[in-house]
Amino acid sequence: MTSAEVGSAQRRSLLIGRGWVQAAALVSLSGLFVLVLMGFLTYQSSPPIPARVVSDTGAVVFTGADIRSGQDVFLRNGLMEYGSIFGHGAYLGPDFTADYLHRSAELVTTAYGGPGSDTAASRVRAEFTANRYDPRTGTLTVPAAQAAAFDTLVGHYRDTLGNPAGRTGLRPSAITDPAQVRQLTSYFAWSAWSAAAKRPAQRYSYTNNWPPEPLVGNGPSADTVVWSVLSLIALLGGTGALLAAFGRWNWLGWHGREREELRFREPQAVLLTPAQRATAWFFLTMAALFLVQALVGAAAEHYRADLGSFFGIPLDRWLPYNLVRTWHVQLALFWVSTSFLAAGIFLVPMITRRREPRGQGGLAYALLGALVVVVVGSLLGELAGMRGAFGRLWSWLGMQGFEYLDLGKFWQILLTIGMAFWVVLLWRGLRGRLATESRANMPWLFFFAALALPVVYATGLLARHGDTYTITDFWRFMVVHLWVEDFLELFTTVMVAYIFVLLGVVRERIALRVIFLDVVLYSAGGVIGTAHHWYFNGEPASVLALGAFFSAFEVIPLTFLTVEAWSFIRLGARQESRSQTPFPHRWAVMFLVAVGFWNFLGAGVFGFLVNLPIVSYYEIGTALTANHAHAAMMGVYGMLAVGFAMFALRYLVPADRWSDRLAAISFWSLNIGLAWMVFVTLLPMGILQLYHSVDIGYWDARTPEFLGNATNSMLEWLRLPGDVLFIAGGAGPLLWLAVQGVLHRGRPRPVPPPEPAADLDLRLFTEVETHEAAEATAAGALPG
Amino acid sequence: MRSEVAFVAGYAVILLAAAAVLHRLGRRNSAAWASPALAAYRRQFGAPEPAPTDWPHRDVGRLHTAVGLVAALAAGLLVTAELVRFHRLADAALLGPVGAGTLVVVAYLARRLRR
Repeated sequence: MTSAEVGSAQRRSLLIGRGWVQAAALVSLSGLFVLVLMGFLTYQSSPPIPARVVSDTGAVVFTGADIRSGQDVFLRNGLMEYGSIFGHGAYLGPDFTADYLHRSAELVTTAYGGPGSDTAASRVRAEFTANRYDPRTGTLTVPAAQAAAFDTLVGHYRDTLGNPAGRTGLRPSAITDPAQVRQLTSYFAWSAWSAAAKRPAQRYSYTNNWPPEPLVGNGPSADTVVWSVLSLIALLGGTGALLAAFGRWNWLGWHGREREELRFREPQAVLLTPAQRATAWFFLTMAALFLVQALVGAAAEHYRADLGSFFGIPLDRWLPYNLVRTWHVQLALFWVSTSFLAAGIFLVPMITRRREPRGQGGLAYALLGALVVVVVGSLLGELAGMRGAFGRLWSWLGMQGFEYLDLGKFWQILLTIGMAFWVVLLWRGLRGRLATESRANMPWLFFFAALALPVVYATGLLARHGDTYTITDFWRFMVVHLWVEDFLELFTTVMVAYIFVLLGVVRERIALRVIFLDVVLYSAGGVIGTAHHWYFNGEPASVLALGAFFSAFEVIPLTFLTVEAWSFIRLGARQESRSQTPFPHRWAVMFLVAVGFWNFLGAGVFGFLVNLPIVSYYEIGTALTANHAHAAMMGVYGMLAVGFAMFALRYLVPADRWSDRLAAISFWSLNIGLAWMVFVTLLPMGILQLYHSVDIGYWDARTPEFLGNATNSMLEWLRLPGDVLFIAGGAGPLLWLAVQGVLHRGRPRPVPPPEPAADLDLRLFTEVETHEAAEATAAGALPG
Repeated sequence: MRSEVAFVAGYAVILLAAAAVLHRLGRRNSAAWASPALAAYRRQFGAPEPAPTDWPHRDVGRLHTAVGLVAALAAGLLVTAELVRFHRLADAALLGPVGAGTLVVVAYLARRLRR
């Protein structure tokens, strides 16, 4: 027998049928193939950037270099965290594509005879939709009236973006350099051109006719309507087929696990490793970042309720909207990631049931230190970058400016390295266990799911500020969608499944099937479904079709896995009822319950509400997007991150310092505060904004005048009580419990009863016995 | 009547319906094997025995009811705010009954939540 065969023989064999592994590999490879194909289409079909734009008279209006520099000005100044471009970005400022297109069309209409003239209206439509770009010379020719409108709009953007009085959400005199204003206007003008001009040999524009703008004849394309209908059919048919299949064949095998007894160990009787104790600092950092994220979110919300001042304080001088909004979305990723990193470190010794390698605790502290450097460095970099610091290094150290990838590239690289370092940390801890397991069993899946996080996040490094917007958006959504919604979701599923396995309430075989099912469903719906973010950003209609059809399937796993989560939890209850010791993780499990609830409502219902192309066409960049984002991001990942913290803190905080009451207050405050935010403000305001967009116009629905009208102001102000409850009642107690974790993490623990040496750290969670053994224990035949 | 008043009244009714649905969802047995889609499986193998105590299921129900109650309170708040802003007879005639319905739903859900 060769050494390889010896190694192979020592591995525990695969616990489930090979068909699961093969199906997961086939579907995920197919999904990734289509994703690569869409990447190819992105590079082939994105709207061209002309070398020069000239008027009919031959005069140069602006150049390709102006457009590219304008994109840099846009990103560097954090304008994507103020308004949006192609519908993507923040929601306080205008959508600059729709804004420029509308204003330009109005000016040209006036030049041709005014809005009452039919001749003027038809001429405007004909001229805006005609594609006069010559790819051989790189020249785009525009009518003289459009060139004149451009000059007028340079003045408009100079007055609004450089307003010395502020009160716009930007800091006073934010952008005053005339050259920069002209470059910025060139960028907006180019985006508006690609939104109206027909693609060569097609009846729709580069953006599938987005935004809706009657003045230039922009209405929903045939693809937008037809694929919306097919998307609905895919959702209904897919859900029915999946439930029917599982009902018929019972693939997961939920039955037949009633023959085990559990005794939950007192958390204080569980030995903690140095790395596990180090996670106390991670969870304190997480809680502090969460609190700051919620506070800057409240400041951002205040701008929507009152642009003038913060209760008399001119907040926009120091903390303008685009800065607090940048911090709000960046910190959302940071605090959730901190919890996930900590939970991974905390779980490893429980998975391996061995002592951890020497130095693991020190390495965990080093990782935390690096994380703090990245967080503080990138946030300060964004602050300074928006104010013009760093010169040519602005995109490296300052504000890179892509929404959710706002941090400078240097910090982005450091964060990627940090995550890779974390994977190395997990590898050190898991190495011994991995050597004894089949590569498709849970320890390996845990490792692979962790390894995927830095790998997929690294693809975001390919978003470069000098590329065409459509291409930068392709790579941006590798992080915003693929990383957050798919691979973080996969890691989540593996972690939660593993926790339940370690708790002894779910068998490993069933957990494995759940994970492979997750891979299959998300590879089909989630990976290709990334394209639902690319309906109108310059991608071809085929990408819209793929995105609409396959993203409908994303809702199916959300629904199905929610049902499945109930079963997990009910199993826990069943087993607890047979345990003679109390279940220590009630509030951690309750946060998982909340994850299931918000997965269904926030990601499933509210996500699907904005997912159909025909809805997104009128809705993108309105409060309905924020409604989905808050309910899904906080509801799913936020609750999960807090749940992980509750789980670990239950071991780190001594029983006499732990408070179930504080955990309960945090749980109910976060859930009620989130529900309040959604039902009182975001959902009704989103519906009103959508109605206004369809009825009056998308451009108008994004203006400060509409956002600040009396009805919307009332809705924004009514959000206040829910936000206060969320912050004070939700984040406050969590921070207190995390402080207790740090203060008492090293407290001596009772010496556990003597056990065989090899088994010393084995029973970290629970003791699982067969039914017969439990009966014998109860009868006193075995030591208890 | 103002269109805004009609919108708030309609939205409040939708919220009340959502509150009722959430409360109902929380009460049903949501175990995978209780799904109607698994009827064929249950006929073949039989359903597992019910758990004697079942706190997560009870708390899942409480979470649904609590969020439903928040939705109903949101409806009440929006209707009240709208009544303060617009209280001509036609506006009050629409908002009044919706407000009364809200009170009934809030009282019912609050009572169920305390149990």
